[in-house]
Amino acid sequence: MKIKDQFNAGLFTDNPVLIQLLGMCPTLATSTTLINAIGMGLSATFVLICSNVLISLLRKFIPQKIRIAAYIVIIAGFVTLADMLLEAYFNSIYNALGVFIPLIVVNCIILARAESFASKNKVIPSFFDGLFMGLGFTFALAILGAVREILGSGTILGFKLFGGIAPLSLFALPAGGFLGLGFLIALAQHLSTRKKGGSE
Amino acid sequence: MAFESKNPKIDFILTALTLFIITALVAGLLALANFYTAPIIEQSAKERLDHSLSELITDAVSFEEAEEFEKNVTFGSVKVPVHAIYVAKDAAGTRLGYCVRVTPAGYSDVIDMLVAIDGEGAVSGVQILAISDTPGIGMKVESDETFRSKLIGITDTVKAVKTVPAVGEVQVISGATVSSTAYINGVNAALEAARLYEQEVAK
Repeated sequence: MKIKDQFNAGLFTDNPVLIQLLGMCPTLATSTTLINAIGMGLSATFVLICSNVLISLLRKFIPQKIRIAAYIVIIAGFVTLADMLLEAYFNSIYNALGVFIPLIVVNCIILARAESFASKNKVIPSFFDGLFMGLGFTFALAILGAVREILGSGTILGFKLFGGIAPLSLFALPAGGFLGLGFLIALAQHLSTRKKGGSE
Repeated sequence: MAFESKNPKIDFILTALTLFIITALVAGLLALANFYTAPIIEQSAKERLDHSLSELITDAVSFEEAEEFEKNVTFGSVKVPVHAIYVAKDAAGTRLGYCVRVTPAGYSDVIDMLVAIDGEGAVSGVQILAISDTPGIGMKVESDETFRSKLIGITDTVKAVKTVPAVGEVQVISGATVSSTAYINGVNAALEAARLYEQEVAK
């Protein structure tokens, strides 16, 4: 698989959120503002790259029987590392994301990529898989985050739009998250079927 | 390359050993990271606290952390943890007031806040150290100055109400009842904790 194909797969044709429908919980929870969405996306990308690389390196060393346990230990280790680094160097993002950083451990995108890609492929492709799948996750989160922040809080990256009035504060709430995600997935489906030339 | 053996008993041990090696490696990595980040985390937390304290009581030269104080303040069914009481003093050592650190339960997490109480026992300022409630709704307790100003100057605990407030009552932010009630609870708890502490010191 070429890097360009991996890029397309991660961001568009096989986007973890919009096409594979993985990691819905952090997507809904952290997409209330654009900056939170980007912070979450990049933290998950960091964990995804590190765990993909290490799991790929150890793929012949880890026995079949205990592979899931080994993956979880590695993923949890990198999440804790990300948690410490964020708290030390990016405190405002750390405070905003709160409990969702430790919860990256159970983000199914990471375990899914470990099981379906990194454990079967060499280090370099696994690195790019982690990078592009992570960016795909960040991309989907950022779009949803931007829409929800503009409609739900009337701001973008903290700057006030429309004189500080929130047009549809429903979008800041969980219900708005589900609605926004639903529309976004529908749009992604529409675009992918159109590209394939199939009928809807 | 994996440690394997035809003998199931040995294989069992080797499998466990493999997992142990991975776990030990990861633990080592984390210990290393903790070694480098823990002092930075502690330092930045202390700096932010010092900054907030000196913003709340600008005249104070030093803040002494009280050792003995009530760790929990209860109002009806609400229990508010009190983390610290900082006694603000000027250069001569005269007590100017208190800053009380409380963490009432907000909507999605606790609200970590510092409440300043002046020498007359009135609330003179509130700083939120950490809050992670719903943006645009619960977070209004941080930005809604009208709501926050209502709690400045109170000397006795107030009641959170949704209707037009009477004396001794403060109206919550519409739509953000949980977060603003938590904020009011925090201020109340700080007042109560400072009062109890003062009684204790007077003894």
